[in-house]
Amino acid sequence: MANNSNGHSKKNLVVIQLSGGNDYLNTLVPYQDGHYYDFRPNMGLRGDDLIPIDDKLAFNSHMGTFKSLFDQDKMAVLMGIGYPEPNRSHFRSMDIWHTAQPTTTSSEGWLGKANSIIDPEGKNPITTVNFGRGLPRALALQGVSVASVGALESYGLYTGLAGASNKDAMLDTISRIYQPMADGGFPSRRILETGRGALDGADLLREAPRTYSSDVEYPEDNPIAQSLKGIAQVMSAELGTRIYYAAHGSFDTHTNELVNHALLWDQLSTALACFLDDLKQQGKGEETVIWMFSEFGRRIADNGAGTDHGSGGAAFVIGDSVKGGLYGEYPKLGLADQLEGDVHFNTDFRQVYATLLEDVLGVESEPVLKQKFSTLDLVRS
Amino acid sequence: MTTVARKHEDEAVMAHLLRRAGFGATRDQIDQYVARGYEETVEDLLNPSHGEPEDQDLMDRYFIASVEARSVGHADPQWSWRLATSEKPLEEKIALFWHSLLAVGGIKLDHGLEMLTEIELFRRVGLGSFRTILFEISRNPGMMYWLDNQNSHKDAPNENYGRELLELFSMGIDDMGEGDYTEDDVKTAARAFTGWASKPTPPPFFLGPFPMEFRFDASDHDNGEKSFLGETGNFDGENIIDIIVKKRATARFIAMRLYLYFVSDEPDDEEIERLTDVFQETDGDIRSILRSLFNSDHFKSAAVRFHKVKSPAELVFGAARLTDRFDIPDMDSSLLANQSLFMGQHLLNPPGVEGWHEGEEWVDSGSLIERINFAASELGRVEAPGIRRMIELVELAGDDLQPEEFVEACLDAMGSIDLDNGSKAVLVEHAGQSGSMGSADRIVEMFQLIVSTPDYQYC
Amino acid sequence: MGLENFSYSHTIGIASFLGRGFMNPVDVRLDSEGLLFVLSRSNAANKDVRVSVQTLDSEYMYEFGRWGTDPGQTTQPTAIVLDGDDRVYVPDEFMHNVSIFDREGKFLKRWGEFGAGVGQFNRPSGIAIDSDGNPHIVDHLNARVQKLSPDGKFISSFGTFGTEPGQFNFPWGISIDSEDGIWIADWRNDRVQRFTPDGEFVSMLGSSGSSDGQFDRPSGVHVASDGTVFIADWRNDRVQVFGQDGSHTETLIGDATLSKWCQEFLDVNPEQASWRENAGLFEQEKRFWRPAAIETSSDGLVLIADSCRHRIQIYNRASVLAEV
Repeated sequence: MANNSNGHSKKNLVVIQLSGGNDYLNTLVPYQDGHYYDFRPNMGLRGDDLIPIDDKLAFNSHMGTFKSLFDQDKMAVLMGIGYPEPNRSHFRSMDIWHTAQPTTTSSEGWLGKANSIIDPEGKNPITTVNFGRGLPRALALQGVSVASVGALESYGLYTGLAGASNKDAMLDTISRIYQPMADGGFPSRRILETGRGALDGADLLREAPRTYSSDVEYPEDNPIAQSLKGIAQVMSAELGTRIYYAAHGSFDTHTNELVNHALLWDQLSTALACFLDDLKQQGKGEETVIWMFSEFGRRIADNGAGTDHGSGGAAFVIGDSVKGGLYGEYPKLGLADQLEGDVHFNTDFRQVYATLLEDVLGVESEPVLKQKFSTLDLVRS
Repeated sequence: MTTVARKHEDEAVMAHLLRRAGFGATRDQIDQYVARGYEETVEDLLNPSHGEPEDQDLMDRYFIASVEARSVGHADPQWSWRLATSEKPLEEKIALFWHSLLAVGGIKLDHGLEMLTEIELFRRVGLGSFRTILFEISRNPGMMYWLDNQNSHKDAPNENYGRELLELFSMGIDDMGEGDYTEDDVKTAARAFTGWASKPTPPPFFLGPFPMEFRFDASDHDNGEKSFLGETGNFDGENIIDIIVKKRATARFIAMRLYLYFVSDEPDDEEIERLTDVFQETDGDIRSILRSLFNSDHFKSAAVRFHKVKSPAELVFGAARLTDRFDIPDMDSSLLANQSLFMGQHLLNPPGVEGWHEGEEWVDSGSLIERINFAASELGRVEAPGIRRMIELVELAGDDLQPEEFVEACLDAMGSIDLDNGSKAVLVEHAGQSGSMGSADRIVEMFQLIVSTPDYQYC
Repeated sequence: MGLENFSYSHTIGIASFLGRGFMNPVDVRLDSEGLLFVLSRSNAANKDVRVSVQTLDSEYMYEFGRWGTDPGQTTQPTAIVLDGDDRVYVPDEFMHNVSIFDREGKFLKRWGEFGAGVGQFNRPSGIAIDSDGNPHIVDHLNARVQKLSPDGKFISSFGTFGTEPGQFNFPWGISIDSEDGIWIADWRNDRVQRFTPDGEFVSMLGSSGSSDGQFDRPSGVHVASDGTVFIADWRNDRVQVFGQDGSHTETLIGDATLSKWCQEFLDVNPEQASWRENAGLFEQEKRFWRPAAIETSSDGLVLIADSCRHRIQIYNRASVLAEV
């Protein structure tokens, strides 16, 4: 077990959210377990659809990068991750992962809180950068600023504004208006400072692609690859960003699962290979940890065309400083071992959060999680 | 005051009323309201004719998935349309008020249809008696589910609803977390509400959602004698509400929340005490309290004008309504709620039972960029009738305006809004530099700059 | 309520945003070989629209016309119809055009653009094809019906906005009977109007209300080969049936049983199944919720797109047809 670090770790955290509920059983397949094929007459993966990692488990064949990371001991696979009394609603379960509060509703995101501890005075408006429109609740905390970026090149004020022929002069004028003055007055100092921070942050983020150079070619038609490229660009610009967030999906494979699930993992596998290559080029490999999760797994039994909402799942922690291997136990699939048609969880996701907070972000975990969780020995300091 | 100054002030006060009791008004609407008179306009706002809007059939036709809205996202087009087009703005504004005060979160409930039903409840009773509002929300199946009254049984009462009813919905607590009630009162309230629940409905995953219904299960209701806030009897939930609404703490709590929502982000103790008295004199009639609030000199004073940060919904629908472009529901109107979400207010899905924190907390650097970009793009819709009319009004103000006159003409055309002198000076300077001020391009540019100011973040 | 001239057959469907199942099906058609084409309207913002193809035994086959504005995609599709060669026509009221696919879903071409001129559309809705292969399209915000040639050339149009006989108020569905007579669901006038093949007003059915023969926003009309008229009485959540003489003969309110796909879902999701049992709303589950369109087959099937319950309810009136 890792000892309690005291805020010394200064690594960056990259979160990749697999939205929609990733089918755990077809991600890490128990290909020697007869129960798997009994319950998956239509959605069971065999033969060429598998990349075995040992005599029990195999990755989905569309996860080539994951297999090589596993072989290089750079990926911790958390088997049977979840929380007690699982909720099978996308919204509620995602909320639970975002707030780390399985039993109460909360508006405070776990990473929003981490941000507020990393940057208590809110000096850097880009301590957290989210790729996508609208804030995932994981990043939300009132008073914490997060930049939500669609595309870096066009991030900021008046981008894409139709007909604004005089944009530079307009930006200059707005910049002069958002000048905090000494007295309280109106508009409030806080709003003016926020505006100042927003303008400065946008300038920095927009500038990032211009200073970035890399040989890596991220595929254009792969959205998660483009998000990860943006993350690499921001990282290379050294703007003090510590938390990066991107989402990939939708993994809600009620139907056409074999086709869609494969496509999603193909995209992610390719994107991840590019990103890790890029991190190496940028010299960020050692200081970057990737965390990949989904709000729930899916039913053990298929429904003929796909799988429905379930519980329990697999999650991944990836990076040069990660101690690779399998963590937890692969859940048993027999009828007697099922939880209402799902696998039981055996690792509480908040243990991983505690680990990421303490050993990656260097933040004490208890105030964030409102409870003390033992950390896992996943990350080298 | 000169006649011109008097007229200007009348318009500014009317514009203020419409920003607070609604989502702002166009220049032409303000003229109509001023002609009608201030107190008459207040009465019109306070007494909307309730009922299904005439274009509900169109909404349902073009957004058929919102008829059986399974999720908040499916329900969005409905409320977006009403917020963008309603001619009864206070009905929507008060619905938004109760939606945050008596908050049910769409995420846990995960039932868009029920969320819309709840907004309709607030439209129907939201300007009436507070007792009725509390009673109806306590029999609202979505609320019962959201606050776990489903799991509150005679033998094992769940305190969630009883607690929030007292703490967040009526009597409130002070800065030290203390209320004018005890833990025993919370427990008693919970006992009184046992048996209040929603009927089970089939899961929505195969046939879509089913409307939720309230159910009282007499066999699961605690009929024992109860002591609550100093009174003793065989109370049920309705009796608890009757006792709560008579307490001055309740009157003060609601008066304060109405003040913060309609008047200013900074509470004014004297005015809140006055509104508390009105609450008690009228048995908690929200319409009477608002009448007194809107007609007060305090509300009309320049001191509170532009002293409330616009919520994302106020900003989005305020800017969108200026364009006057919504004849018929379409994709564009259906996506307005998304804009509010991008700015931090996910309508039909408040973040928790406490609703949204109002005031300056709305504005962070991420949301400010969203606010400015959205408002600027709305004001840039030169084809929209509302924007065309605004351009025309500035053009009518004269051919060779001085920069300061030009900025004033733009502010006036946007619905008698105003800016602080500091921001205004910078815009005047900008106008002076950019030449050919009278062209439509320059006028629109000034509109876009105005909505980008820190001042425009307030209403 | 007993059915006199119908027996309930079975139901196809489950709520699904892609593949097997439907999301707000607003139209249903059979092709020449009896395959079932269903148009899922969904909520444009959720991008679940598509035409899906399945057998009457609930065997899912394929789908096409998914969300988007590129050729071969649809955004806010309103109706489908198949011509004599089983080409599939899909009007779209967001793009103001009609997309045409072959039976396998391969995109062929699309017609039209926004406007009020000839060959232009303002929210096209229903579509039907006459015996010469000419598509007739309800151009609903232009309050007219446009007749095009099989290759998409404008031939003629009729109708103006209003409430008088022969005028339209947000019309929606259309059916062409065996004599090329044209029937229009004049939606916001709460009536169905009948026209000659040349667009001359003949007669109308219905008024506002919820009694027999009255309508609340009728969305779809379908005239079967024997002249029986089916009307989807959309906001009254029922389908009314009329004889050739315009007399009301029957009202269907929905009799759905669990479809094969729903049963499969409940089989692998026992928790959901017990949740459903616990709710016990079995009668409510049967009923139509905004039935939008009707199709009939030559062998007596009546198929109803139950738009807010994500399914097609199927009735049989073979015995009645046999008597005729």
